[in-house]
Amino acid sequence: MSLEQAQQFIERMKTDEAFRTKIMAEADVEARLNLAKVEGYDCTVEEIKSVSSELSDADLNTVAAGGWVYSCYSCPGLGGTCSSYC
Amino acid sequence: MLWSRYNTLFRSKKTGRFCYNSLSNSLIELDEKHYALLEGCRQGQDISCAQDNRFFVRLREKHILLEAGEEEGLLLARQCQRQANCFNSSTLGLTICPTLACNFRCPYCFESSQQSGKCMSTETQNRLIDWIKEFTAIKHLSVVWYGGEPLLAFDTICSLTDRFLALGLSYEKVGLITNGYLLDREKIRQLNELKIDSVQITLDGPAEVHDTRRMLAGGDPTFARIMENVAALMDSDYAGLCQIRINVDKNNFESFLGLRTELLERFKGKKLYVYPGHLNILGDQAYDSCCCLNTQEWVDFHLELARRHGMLASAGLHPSYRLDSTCVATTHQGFVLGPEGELYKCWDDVGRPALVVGTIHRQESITNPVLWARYITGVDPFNDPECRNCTVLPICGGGCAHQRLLAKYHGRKEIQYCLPYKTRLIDFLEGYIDSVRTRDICTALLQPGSTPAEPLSWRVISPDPALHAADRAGEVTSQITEDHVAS
Repeated sequence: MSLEQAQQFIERMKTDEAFRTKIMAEADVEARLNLAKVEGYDCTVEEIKSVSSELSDADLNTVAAGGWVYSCYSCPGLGGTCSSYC
Repeated sequence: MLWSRYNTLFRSKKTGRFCYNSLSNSLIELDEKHYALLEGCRQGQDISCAQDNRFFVRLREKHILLEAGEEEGLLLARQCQRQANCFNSSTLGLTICPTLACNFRCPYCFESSQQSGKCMSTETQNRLIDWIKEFTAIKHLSVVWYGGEPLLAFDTICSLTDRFLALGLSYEKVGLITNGYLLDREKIRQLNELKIDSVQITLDGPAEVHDTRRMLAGGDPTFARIMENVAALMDSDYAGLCQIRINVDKNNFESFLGLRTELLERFKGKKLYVYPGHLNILGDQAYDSCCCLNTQEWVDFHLELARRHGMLASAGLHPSYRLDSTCVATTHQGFVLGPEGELYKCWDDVGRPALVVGTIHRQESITNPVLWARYITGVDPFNDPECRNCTVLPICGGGCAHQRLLAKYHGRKEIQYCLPYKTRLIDFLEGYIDSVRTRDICTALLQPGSTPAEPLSWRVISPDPALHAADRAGEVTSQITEDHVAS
């Protein structure tokens, strides 16, 4: 089990429609992850949550987060572009 | 109906078809039929006959299609809002350098006064308090402690904070920018009392890299001691956020991810944020600017972090709206205060006499009104026809005021002050869309009995969770309408 395998699994779910349909045909979560394991992706529920947790904390909550304290407005959503150490 | 100059209609091999409008900062995913419809609009076809159509209504809401003159009106309103923000008199925003002395000798530092031993005198501190009182309309005082190395003048920070708190103003958003070397347990213990809610510490990579670049004045290494102090901070009852900025250039960017991972694992569960900082040499520092990542390389670095490692900057890949944003340089009550009471408009100007705009020691504190006005009004992107017509103006906001000032008034035409959205907008949006897909897939996967959502003919994708949810709900409802469901 590893986060890396979870990331690879989700990447394939995004890009391979037949694979996605096959996995989602299973009704419950445990069966889906068992099938994923058979397909070579050994990962846990927690690891799947981890794959999207950084996204939840950052990109998908941009409005709520509002950037960081010192970033001047010029920072292009990346941070730290200002030579003044913002 | 007119096609907005702020639209970007694009087809992505990986993620589909989209229309993005920077004025509303909105992204709409389209099926082929709706993409073709908008392509027609872009080329001047009129679809105003479909005004009761839900899709059309949404295009109007998002300013993708406008009436003649409507866009100028919207811009005027935004310009007015920006000016109101620039001339807001309720807040005094101060970045205070209690000293310009520094115990480090980083080769890329833009300041040139590290060897100055000057700290803010009692006379200047007294005058600062009186000067603040002269801003009779202020309700909020916001302070960032900066330098030099501000912890070399920690007593000044303590004494001035006591006096700021006694002013009866709302005292908030207090930050400390430090190299971290002098942040010992005794100082950490006082951070909460000093109302400092964010501490920023800079590293340049792991010890073997950091110690060749961020060394003491005598050349001794600093990494181990800084890490001891970070550990003490993380182990303390400090209530604020610790931000570790890791400076990145061509020489060390490969070590960024490893150090970030190590820090986050070591201090798991703590209020710690680790992010890359872009070394950008604009002055005459004795550092080879060829080592710096250029804008395109900097963008590639971030997109790669997102694509391969799922790491996103705090503001994410979705553009932020910047049309009415301001910074300390562009607000009339924003100043950087040097230890002798001299006033600057930008952090980058510290220690440069030619860029002093005034002094707190004079009754009329602005002594260089032209420079002051250039920062506040002269670099206003609304006054620049090229900016007004630029597709990404609303999410660029004209770029960095300091860089813009150098380019416009100091002959530094080589400075690229535009934000990278100008050339890389679609790359950012594709990265964002990919992150949305990841989240959607993960959510569906962990929901028993769920199946992947049916493809819609169009949908609005928003970084705001509330808006995103509302829009998705709206689209589900609208599936009953013929023109909205993928055929």
